[in-house]
Amino acid sequence: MTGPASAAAPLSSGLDPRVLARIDNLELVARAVVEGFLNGLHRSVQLGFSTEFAQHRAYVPGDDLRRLDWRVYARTDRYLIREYEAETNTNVMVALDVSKSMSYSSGGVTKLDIGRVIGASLAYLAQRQRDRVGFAAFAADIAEYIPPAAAHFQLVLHALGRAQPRERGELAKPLARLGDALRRRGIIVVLTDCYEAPGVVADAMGGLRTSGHDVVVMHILDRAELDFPFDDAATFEDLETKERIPLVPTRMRDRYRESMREHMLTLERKLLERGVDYVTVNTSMPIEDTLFNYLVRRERLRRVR
Amino acid sequence: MSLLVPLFLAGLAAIAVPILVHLVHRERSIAERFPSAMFLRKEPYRAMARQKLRHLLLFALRVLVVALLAFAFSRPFFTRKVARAAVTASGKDVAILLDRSASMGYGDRWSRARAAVERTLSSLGADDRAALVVFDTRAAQVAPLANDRSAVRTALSAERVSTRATRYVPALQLGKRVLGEGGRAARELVLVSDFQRSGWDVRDNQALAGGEKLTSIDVSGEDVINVAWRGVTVERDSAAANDAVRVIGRVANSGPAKRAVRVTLAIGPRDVAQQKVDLPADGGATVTFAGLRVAPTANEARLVVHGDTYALDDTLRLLLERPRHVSVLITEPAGSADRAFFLREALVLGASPSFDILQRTRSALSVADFASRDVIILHDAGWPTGATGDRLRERVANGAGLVIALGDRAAPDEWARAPRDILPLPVRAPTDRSAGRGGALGWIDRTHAALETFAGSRSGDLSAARFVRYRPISDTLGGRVLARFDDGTAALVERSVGRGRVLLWGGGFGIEWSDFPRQPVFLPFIHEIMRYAAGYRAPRVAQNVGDVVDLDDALGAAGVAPSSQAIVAITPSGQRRRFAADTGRRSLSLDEAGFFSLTGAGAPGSRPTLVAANVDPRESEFDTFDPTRLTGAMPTDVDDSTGHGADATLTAEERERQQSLWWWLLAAVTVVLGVEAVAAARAAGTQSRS
Repeated sequence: MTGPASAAAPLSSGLDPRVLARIDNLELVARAVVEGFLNGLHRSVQLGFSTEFAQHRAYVPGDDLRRLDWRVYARTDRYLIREYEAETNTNVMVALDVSKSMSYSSGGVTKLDIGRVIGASLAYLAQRQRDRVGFAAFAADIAEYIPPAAAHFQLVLHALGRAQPRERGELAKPLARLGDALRRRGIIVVLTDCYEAPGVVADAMGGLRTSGHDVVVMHILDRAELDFPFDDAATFEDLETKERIPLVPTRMRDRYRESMREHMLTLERKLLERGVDYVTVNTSMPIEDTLFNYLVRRERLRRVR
Repeated sequence: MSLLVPLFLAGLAAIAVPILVHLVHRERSIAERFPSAMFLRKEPYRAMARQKLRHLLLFALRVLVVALLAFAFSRPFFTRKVARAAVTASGKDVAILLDRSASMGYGDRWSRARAAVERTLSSLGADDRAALVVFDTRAAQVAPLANDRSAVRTALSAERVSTRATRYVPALQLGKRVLGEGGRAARELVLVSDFQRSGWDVRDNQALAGGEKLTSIDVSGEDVINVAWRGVTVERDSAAANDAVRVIGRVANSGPAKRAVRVTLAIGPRDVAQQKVDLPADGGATVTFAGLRVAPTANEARLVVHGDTYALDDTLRLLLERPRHVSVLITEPAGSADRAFFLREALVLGASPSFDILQRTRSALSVADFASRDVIILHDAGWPTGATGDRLRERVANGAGLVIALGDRAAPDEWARAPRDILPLPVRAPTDRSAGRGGALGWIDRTHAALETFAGSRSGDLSAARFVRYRPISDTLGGRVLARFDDGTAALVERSVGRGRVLLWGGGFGIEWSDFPRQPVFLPFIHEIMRYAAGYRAPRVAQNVGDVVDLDDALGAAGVAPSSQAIVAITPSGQRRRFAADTGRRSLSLDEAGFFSLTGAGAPGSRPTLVAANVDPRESEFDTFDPTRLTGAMPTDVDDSTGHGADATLTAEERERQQSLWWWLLAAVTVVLGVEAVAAARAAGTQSRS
């Protein structure tokens, strides 16, 4: 088994997000992304959402010998059986933020495009592991909902493909409704730009977590949102509220970056406190890198836990 | 350095434009869209942005472009102060312009003019230089610009009054050039003349350069008393028999009192007639010598006024010859009434030339009838049959004119046998326009030699005639359409066959189809058509000194093959001039009064062609104009204070080089604009990336 250190090696594919965004066939894109990083790992790592180790128990006659933990036997001379949580297929719900702010792009690929590709990739990965896949698009409310099912993979891809930026976004209400709709526990991947107060975001995600879901927040940000590289004095317009703000970017760039960094750190801290995974996605970075790094880290965290 | 147009420096004010643009830098109307204003704080930028010049490099380049443009358009130039100092330190140059036109031969004008030149020479300083230019219609420098006065005096003593008219412009142009080549700043034109009004047109404006001065010396003196010939006309004397001619001379009296003078007409060396003429004060009269029987070829003749003090314009030389005829054959269909009545009567009235008319029916037509005819008219008659038709075609190809009138009796089948080069298409059925007011001639080619006489106003309205029927001539016939009916069909078409001219007329010359023969314009129409078809040219009775004779034309008209032979011209003063063969169009300038004799070098025994040249009648008009008008009409080129007086001594290339700085400035503007474009593109690129 390859350790985390080796698994974190750089990938060779490096698919450009702008190229991926121009491919209409989301399945093709997802396959390219997923197969790309899986090939890079030589299929040697057990990645996924379902193979989660839970505990050992004493061997009883009749148990499958393949599930004996021979390492424990070597150390303790005791026969213990490895037990896994959720041995059966699980639900994977992709929740995509389609608020207006997700339509932003400073380099040709919008955050929504990147969200689509990531969502499709995760759906493909789940479907490849025979998990059930569902999809929810939300802004101020749930805009589209496809319940998780093994046969819904294509539906999810279609829904991802036609997702369009809508009105002003919100997290608490739509995610609460999503939690209500999901009767069976599973994994919820929320793809959003998190333009809410960190406490609001953490509360919304915490509600899902309380319901027993495994929640992953993928915070999608454009490079311009991170660096604020503008030079000329100009009027900036909020995509969602249409508020216009005259600015001298050079004078407030540092302050902006600091605010954003503080926002992200707070989010990460509050979400972790609630047992929610937090991943930042830079739209200018290769998508498979982002996914790979996250999944490796998730695997590592699972081992630690 | 000076500026040619300093007013353009006002363009420097345009520098304010880039300054304002860079200072104000208006808020962009399109806002920068951003996902969320969550971390943005309001901070208005106008106040601080206005205080700062943005993109300093761009700003500097743009200001530089404006400044260079303004400077370039103000036309900076360098002056050669050292050279200027050198020329102003020397004496002055004087160009003496001496009028030697025919009018200067009146009274003592010529001697006074020479005395005026002498006085001018005497008044010059030791450092001054003088040149002598003599002029009439032409100007010539006969003494170069020099300190040596003797060269001018020698040239002056050799000069004589010419028989040409006066023109001031060539003299002034030459004088200015002579002074310009002299290179001195102080220059003077001294114009010695009788200042005839006919020699000056205010449109002949000649600007004086800075430093140039024009001095006029009027030698016209007291009022003129003169009797002179103003013109002559020779025409056939229809009242006399046997091709007699009538000479009508116009003589004018310039003077405050009426005069009675004797005038004579001499043909060759012998006076043949004389008259006494009473002339009113400042008026004229005509003198007619009628019933003169003259030889078939041109003879020298002279009209002379006796008893006048100024002899140069008392003799008018002319050529007298028996009037030329154009022989015309009218052919009509056999057995018909006299349909050619109007045509014949129109031809009978011809005087210049007269028409020698022969009329035949087509059936009686023989080769002898048209063998020597200048024009053959087939008036409704079809093409002759057999050998007669062949001979007719040959006659046309050899230079005779053929007029085909297609009237009501024209039988298409009789025209079917006509040679294809005469009539390539069959005669068409007539167009009937009797339903309305009838047709009319809608267009005629007034640029054509046959119809140009109708180009002037009140020269005859060809559209007045009404045609109830006519035979349309197809445009596909070939040749040149000279007239069209108002429905667009061709009415008169010209074709060339060999050296002959063929004219096809679709309207007929009778009154059966139209009232054209009853219209006044019918007479000149017929005369012009016949003249053109015959290739007739009226002889030139008298010409003026200064006229140019086309030798090929003159000898061609006299029957000499001009281009294949050299031509020899003998001038009135006995000079022999030879014009080589095959050297293109050859011409002779009549530069003296008298009879010029022209012969082909290949026919030394043949009778020469004569040309009579007379003093230009304008030289007999002694009206003068105020010389100060001449000076006033010659504005100075530029203000001398700009330093151009010195520049006038430079060649055109040097002058251009001095003023070419602005081209370099424009080139610099181009370079700066290129740099500005690159800088602006980079700035824009940075902005778009951001």
